[in-house]
Amino acid sequence: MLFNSFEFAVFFPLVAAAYFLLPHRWRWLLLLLASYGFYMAWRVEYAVLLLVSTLVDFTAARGIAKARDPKGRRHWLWLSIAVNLGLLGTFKYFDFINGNLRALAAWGGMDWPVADLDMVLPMGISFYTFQTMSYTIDVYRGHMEPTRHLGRFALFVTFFPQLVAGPIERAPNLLPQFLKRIGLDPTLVTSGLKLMLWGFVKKVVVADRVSLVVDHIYAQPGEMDWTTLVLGGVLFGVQAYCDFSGYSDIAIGAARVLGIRLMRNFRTPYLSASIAEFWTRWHISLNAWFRDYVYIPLGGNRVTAGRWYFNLLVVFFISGLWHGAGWTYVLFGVLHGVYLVAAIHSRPFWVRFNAVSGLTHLPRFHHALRVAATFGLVTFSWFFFRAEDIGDTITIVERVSTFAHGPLDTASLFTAFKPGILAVTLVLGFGLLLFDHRIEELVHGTRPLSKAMDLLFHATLLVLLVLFGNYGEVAFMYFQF
Amino acid sequence: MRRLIINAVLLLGTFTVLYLAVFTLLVKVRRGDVPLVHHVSETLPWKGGATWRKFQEFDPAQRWDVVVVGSSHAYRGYDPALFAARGSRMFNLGTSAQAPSNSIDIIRAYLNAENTGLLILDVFETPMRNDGVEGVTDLTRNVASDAVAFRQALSLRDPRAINMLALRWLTRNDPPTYLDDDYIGAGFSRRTDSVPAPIQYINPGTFEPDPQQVRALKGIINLCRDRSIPLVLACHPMPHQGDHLAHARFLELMDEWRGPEGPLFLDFATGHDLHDMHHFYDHNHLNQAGVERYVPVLLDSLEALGLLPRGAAR
Repeated sequence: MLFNSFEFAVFFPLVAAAYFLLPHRWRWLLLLLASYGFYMAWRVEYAVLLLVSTLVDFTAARGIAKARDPKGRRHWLWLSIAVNLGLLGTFKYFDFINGNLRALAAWGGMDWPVADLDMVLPMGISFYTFQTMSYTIDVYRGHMEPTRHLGRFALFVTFFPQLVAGPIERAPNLLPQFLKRIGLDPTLVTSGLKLMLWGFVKKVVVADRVSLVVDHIYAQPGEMDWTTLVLGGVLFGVQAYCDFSGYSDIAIGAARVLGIRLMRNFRTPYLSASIAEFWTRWHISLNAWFRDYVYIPLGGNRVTAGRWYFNLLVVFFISGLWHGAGWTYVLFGVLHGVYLVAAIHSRPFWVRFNAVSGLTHLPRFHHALRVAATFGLVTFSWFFFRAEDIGDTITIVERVSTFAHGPLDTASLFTAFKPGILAVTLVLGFGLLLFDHRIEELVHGTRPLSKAMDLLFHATLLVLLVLFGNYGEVAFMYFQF
Repeated sequence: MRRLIINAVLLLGTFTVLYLAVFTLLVKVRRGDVPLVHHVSETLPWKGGATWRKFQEFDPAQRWDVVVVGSSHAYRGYDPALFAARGSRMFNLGTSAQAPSNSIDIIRAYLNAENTGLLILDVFETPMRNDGVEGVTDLTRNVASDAVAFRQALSLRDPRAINMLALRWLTRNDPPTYLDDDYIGAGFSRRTDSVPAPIQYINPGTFEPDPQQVRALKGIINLCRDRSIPLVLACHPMPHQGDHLAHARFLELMDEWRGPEGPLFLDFATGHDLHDMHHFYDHNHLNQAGVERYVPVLLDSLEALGLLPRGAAR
């Protein structure tokens, strides 16, 4: 079920109403049934994967707790990791790996006998496998006791607001909340609904509108001049942010209505003054996962410089691969790893440069420069992320780097879109880039408004949603991950 | 709870006032002759044209021997003059991209056993895999019946319905913005041009129906049965270079959808001697020369089956 569907508009109020009407002891069951229903509205048969993941990790965590020696504990941990990565590998990466092996065999003049599986990617598999693996690892590390309640654990794995696209929650945060007695809190309900509204505006009004222009530009990058391609990169950055953070806001808002707090997943990432900062503001839950379960176990930064760089590159290679089974995603991840390594390696140079150039005496200007440079680097990386394949990526990078066919040739855009619609799209996209941090302050209540202004602000969001929304059940981008 | 309800009412009230103010401004402010907002989708921007004219013209109180519904195949492919030449009064209620989910509301609002002797639903692959949005846009803008407009808008099940109905309401007294020169009368639009040069036909060879349209088609069959309106499904000629694989799949499914007791389905898509360039004005629409070849064959079949009286003129 999509958040931006009529079905969800009916489903969510009904679930919320039933949730508050039911006695506390049965609420977990309601949410569990609702979560399975939510998932099975997409595909019934793939609910089996959720069930397998749930049963394996519940059993593994209990096994870890009961094991008498480290070897036994490790066996249970590896069972959990193997099953989850096995599911992920089979459904998400098998065809990718197989295709590469086939290409390699063909290059060597051999036939490759293994056929692709050609399976539909289970929605949310990258999210729920990571979430449930984190539980087993936390139990293994002694950070928490395993739960004895299979039902509540199943709910932790499948909780519908964040099931298919995060935030990737941690058991110590989410599981105890299912035990708490929660009453109907008008303040929480109101703020949850406001956050959902903002999420819908980001998704339906901005991301889905901007995506029309982005799709047009990326459909034939070889036909576009360099400025149009840069515009496509910037707009895709807006689309990706609004699509994914929009989903997160709806998820967090929906959970908040039910009195459950989920972690914040985005904090105005395009205001980052460095790539390192960007990754602390973009998809926070995923990057925290990689930090805690991959980067730190590899040694983090408490190792030699060479090993540190290696750790960063490994983490971002995996992160790229997590985003999608394709070389474009891998390159996107590796590029960010390279950015970080380059930033660390060149730090002494920049310290000297800032001192000599006098930028240290102009902190605001210096900060703005850094934000702009970071935005430029991130935009460049979106070329890799969004391109259909490596060939398109090379085409885009080549055309942008050689300033091909400039200046901006608007003819292709004006042929594809009516000027008014194009203008609205660009205003929405760039407006969001410029004012996102201000709106986020209003939405998250860090800049309180008077009652009347608050009412007007949210009524305006609602008007935007109705007037400029792009409807027709456009799926969320991150569902493919 | 009381506070929540008050907040919700306040928000909805403020939204309504703000929305109507903005929307009125967009509709009433003009750039030259054109209001800032004159359409709510990429297709069929204007109030007016063939759809507007035919619903102004159609009188449900009159008796029609034949009524045709369907998409552009219908309103460009069934010429009332050719029916009249054989002694039958026909009105064409086909509209742009009209899919079964659009047709059903037109039938429900306008047709019954008293005013319709025979209903022909022109049906082929495209309307059956269509989401119906283009048809909804056209009808909410141009249909005379408020009930049809309302039902069609609501069928979208998303906020576009609000915009469509607001636009209809705010421009209800405006004159039509264009009339459509192809419109001849009695619901028919005529095209006399031909395919100017050989066309590149794109034939995916697959046919995936939209479940909503399948439900609507079955709904039309039941509705006509309930109202005792004789129904015939028909498919007009397709070019020889058309997508025959998809059509074959469509035919298989049509048998399934109609069921053993279902209405008659006359398939004229293939087995004809029309020329892809001379009798079509594009990759799938008949021009007038094609219509004049197709309609007599259809009428012969309907007369032979006893669904229409034997025509006077031949």
